[in-house]
Amino acid sequence: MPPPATSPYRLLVEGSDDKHSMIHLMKRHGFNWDDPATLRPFVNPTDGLPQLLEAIPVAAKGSYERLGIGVDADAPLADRWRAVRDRLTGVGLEVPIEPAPDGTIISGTRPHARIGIWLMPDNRTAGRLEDFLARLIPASDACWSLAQDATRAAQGQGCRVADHLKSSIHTWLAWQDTPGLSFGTALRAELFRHDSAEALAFVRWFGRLFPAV
Amino acid sequence: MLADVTIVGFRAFRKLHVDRLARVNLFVGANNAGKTSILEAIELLALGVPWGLWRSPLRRGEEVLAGNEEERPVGRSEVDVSHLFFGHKLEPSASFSLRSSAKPRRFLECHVVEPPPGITEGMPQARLPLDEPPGPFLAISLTSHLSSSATLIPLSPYKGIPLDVRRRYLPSASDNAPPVHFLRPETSDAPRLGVLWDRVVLTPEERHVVEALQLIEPKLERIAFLGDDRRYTRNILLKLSDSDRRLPLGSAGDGLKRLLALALHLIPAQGGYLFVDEIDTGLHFSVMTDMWRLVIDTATRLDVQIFATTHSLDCVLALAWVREKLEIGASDVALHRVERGVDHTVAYTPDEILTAARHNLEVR
Repeated sequence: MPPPATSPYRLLVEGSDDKHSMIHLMKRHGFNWDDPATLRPFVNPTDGLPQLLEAIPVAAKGSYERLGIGVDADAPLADRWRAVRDRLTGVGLEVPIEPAPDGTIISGTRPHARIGIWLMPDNRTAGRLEDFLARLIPASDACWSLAQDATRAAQGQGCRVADHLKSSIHTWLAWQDTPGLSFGTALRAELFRHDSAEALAFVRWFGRLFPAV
Repeated sequence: MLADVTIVGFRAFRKLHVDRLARVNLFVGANNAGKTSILEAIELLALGVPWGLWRSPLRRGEEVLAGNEEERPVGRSEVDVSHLFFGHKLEPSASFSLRSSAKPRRFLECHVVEPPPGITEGMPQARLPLDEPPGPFLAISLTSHLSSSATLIPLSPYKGIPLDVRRRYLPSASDNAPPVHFLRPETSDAPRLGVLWDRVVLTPEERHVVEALQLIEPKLERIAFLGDDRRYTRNILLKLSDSDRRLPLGSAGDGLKRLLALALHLIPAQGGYLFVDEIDTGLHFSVMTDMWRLVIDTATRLDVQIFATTHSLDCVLALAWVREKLEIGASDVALHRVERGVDHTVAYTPDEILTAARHNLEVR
């Protein structure tokens, strides 16, 4: 049974790909997402960055013991960090000028409450969920470089490729035993690895923020 | 209108600061977080008069059982004000203070003191059993924005406030206290509502009361209170457009009675304050927005500041939706969350309540 919306743990993310990727990555690391006896975060995708930014101060003032914020750094990292930071300082929280490379965790508005921020992909460089996932594609996978080349070639032939990295990953996912799995399901099916440096750092940040009591 | 309140040493609050008060304020929080106590603190501060001190203890039934049963004259129970003090102890040095620092400035402070001789004259010492020495006499020294000097309210040897002391401080026009009304979760009884009804019947406000009830019962045409002088009861009857019979209010559901109580308490609070504990009591979620529309409209029209509590998420959401629909100012409505052990409340604007609703975020 997934955690209920009344859980004192809450994780805000931009979209459902973020949600399912995080959940299945954590499951790969042995996190028991379906154990009702364990406190687990209710993950809610806000359906976009503006909505996520709007929800941050309201959630930060809420009665959560633990609040996680997973956001893409798909603008200059410093700009995205400032956008999140402003929402939190606006409700009286102290937030460092720069994000912690291992994922930031600060004190919340209530006693003993904590708020964690993870900037995709790694709190250091600009990027997003797709950059995080691309680094989980096995280095030896011949299809991956082929998928990137094919996407580039398709673009050269006039195909619409709005987002090269995203298209490449979906192309690569199309060339699997079960073609076209979503990110989360592909993680569960172990098409992606689970142990890139970023993934391990994310898992440690998640574990620190959401103690499985 | 009060903009902020700081409560120190009152009931369960060592210290609590409430700010961003609006015209209509809704307090939420877990059981025992102290929502009702906040209402009581603000009520006492708004009144600023000695008789405000025993209003909430009387409502809560906080009484001292003075003397033994046989010696206690009927109806002579003493009000126990000890629970107003953090720690529940009436001893010299116990005190509480209530303060609003933004304009209009208001304050009320109570200190337990050893009174000068003479002040306890006429206190019911004789009621003590002969072998029990009377306790030391204490008094409460009350100062507020309404008077330039302290008022000394003597306590009996049982540390209660007896009726004859309370009679020295009856409400009067010279108090300069604003109108302050408090509506409890239990719907008010018919005689009490009857007194309030008599004030509005045949005035322009009568129409507003009928309109309030029409939110739930659109067929309502008239309301009447029939009295029985011998038994001091009042029957509340309704006339509906599709029936020639007089319908007792009691047969019409709790929601109608709650709305009637709300409407009737709002009117005499004109220019003052109305406190409503568990405002959603008896109301189905489908009429919650109408209830808020009534409260916000009337409060704005009659210049009443509202302080209410609820446990209901529907009640919170309805407040935000009404705000959006009525396009009233953002400063007209605020939600405040009270938490045990936290020395300030957390305020949400209506826009933030809507954001919370959209993303399924908890604000209670």
